[in-house]
Amino acid sequence: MTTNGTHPPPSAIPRDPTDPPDQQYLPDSWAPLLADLRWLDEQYNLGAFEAHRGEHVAAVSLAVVGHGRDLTELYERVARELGVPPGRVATVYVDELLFTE
Amino acid sequence: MSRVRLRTLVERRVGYRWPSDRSGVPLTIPAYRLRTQLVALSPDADPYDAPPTDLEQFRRIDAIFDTGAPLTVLGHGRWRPFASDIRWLEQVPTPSGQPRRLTILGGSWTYRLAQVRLGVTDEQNRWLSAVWTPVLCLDPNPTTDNLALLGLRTPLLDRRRVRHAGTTPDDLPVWWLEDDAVG
Repeated sequence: MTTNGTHPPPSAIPRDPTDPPDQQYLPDSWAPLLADLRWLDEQYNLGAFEAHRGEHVAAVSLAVVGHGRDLTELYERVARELGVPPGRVATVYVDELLFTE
Repeated sequence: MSRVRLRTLVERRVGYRWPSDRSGVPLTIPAYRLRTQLVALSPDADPYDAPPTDLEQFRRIDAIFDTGAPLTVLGHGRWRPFASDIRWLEQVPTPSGQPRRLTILGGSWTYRLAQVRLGVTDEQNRWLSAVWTPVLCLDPNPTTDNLALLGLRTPLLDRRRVRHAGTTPDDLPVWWLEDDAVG
């Protein structure tokens, strides 16, 4: 498991050798963003975002940097606070509860 | 040939007691959801089929992969960040003259029909080329603003299949969206 903020984002993502030979990839410039997206999914599956049901959770450089129901406002707020492009902000939506006890 | 791995997210698990279980320990059924990382491209992004390069130009959509949904549906909060890249479609007026509505989530919601140029990526940099996808763009409403479903009718699924390929070491099922001829 990746620990919050302790690993720098990668500059490139290793290719899967089982991929088809003509598989298309995003350029390596996307690697830090995709690492944040992967980290968000890991945290989601560990139950780290239970308190944010119905919200988007934002991460940059493997750390949670904000949350909120309004995605546009969240992008703009985090981008302004961190000085990064809104497109650099990774987010995951935490679904409303599907099941109750 | 190309593929992307679908994202498997674990929701709350469904607890139950097996009648013959004498240990008293409740069992659970994992409740998974498949999601995709869509990327909305501008209509004039160039070259047409190449992966996007400039992070500032593109918006991602964290969408549920829902082949039970006939069309892709985006709540207002999901399409608003890239509204300028949406191609709005004219629809024949309804006989009553009222706005068209979609009935989901226990309610009925007004929408506008549109096309969005959507590609798919995954967390290992893979990319499926962007195609124009019909989308029901819902009007603002707190109940639906964060809804994002990738529905069945999209060229992203043309000549492609969804394949279950075992589980990861931490017991998450692996699902691929891939061209017919892969594997």
